[in-house]
Amino acid sequence: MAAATVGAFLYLPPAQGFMDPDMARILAFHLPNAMVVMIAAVASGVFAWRYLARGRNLLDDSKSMVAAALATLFCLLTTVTGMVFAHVQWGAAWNWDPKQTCIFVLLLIYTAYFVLRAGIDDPDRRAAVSAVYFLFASVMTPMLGYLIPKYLAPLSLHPKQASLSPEYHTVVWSFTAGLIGIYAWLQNIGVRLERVRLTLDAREAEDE
Amino acid sequence: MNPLLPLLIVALLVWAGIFAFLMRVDRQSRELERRLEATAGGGQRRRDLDGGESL
Repeated sequence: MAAATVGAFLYLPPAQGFMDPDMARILAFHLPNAMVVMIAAVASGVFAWRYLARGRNLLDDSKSMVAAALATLFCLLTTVTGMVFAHVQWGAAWNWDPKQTCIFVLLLIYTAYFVLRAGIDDPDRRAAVSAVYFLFASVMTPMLGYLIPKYLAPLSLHPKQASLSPEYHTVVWSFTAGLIGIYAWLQNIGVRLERVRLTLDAREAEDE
Repeated sequence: MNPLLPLLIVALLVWAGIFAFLMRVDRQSRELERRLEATAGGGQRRRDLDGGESL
């Protein structure tokens, strides 16, 4: 990550065709975040499917929940970095551009997942309902993150054909690799803590 | 001097802070898990939860 950060500041040339060519460097962080949202959402969907299809193990539900929380975190980072860029490039942080609208809907879908979880007390029922819901959310993620904005591209303020230099590709992919590593690390920590919680819950249930 | 250098230093410090925090949380969560497993039945419950599979 340090090398990618140094690359973003010192290796990348100012991007041509942008209002503030130096500020375009934030794209090197914005795009990898969006890719990690996809990965985390798909991972959460896979764990949700595993919960439903393979033995209703509550640890699979926990893995799905942790991945969903990380998808939400990286989605927020994507939104914030996008807003910073939009403020410089288009004069306002929020323009209801198709991509911004889609990511807003995606954030609502993720938030609703946690509201849904909070509303169900029984762990098995909560896990089953959440798993079905996040299967829907994981399908909506590539739809809202990529397919619908691509279809609505003529209405978008986003560049239709990115004219970024090859140096951007190197730095964007370096950041993506680093952020995937951070995502995997966070997922591991989150699942470890969830495993501790489930163990304590089981012990409390036995004591009662 | 490159005018972006001060910003780069701030960015690197932020990354160092994030990594230090994550390493601390990682170490503490491992310690918590180890202590729980050391108590009676903790290890067996963990194997039950995992269903015989690793992460």
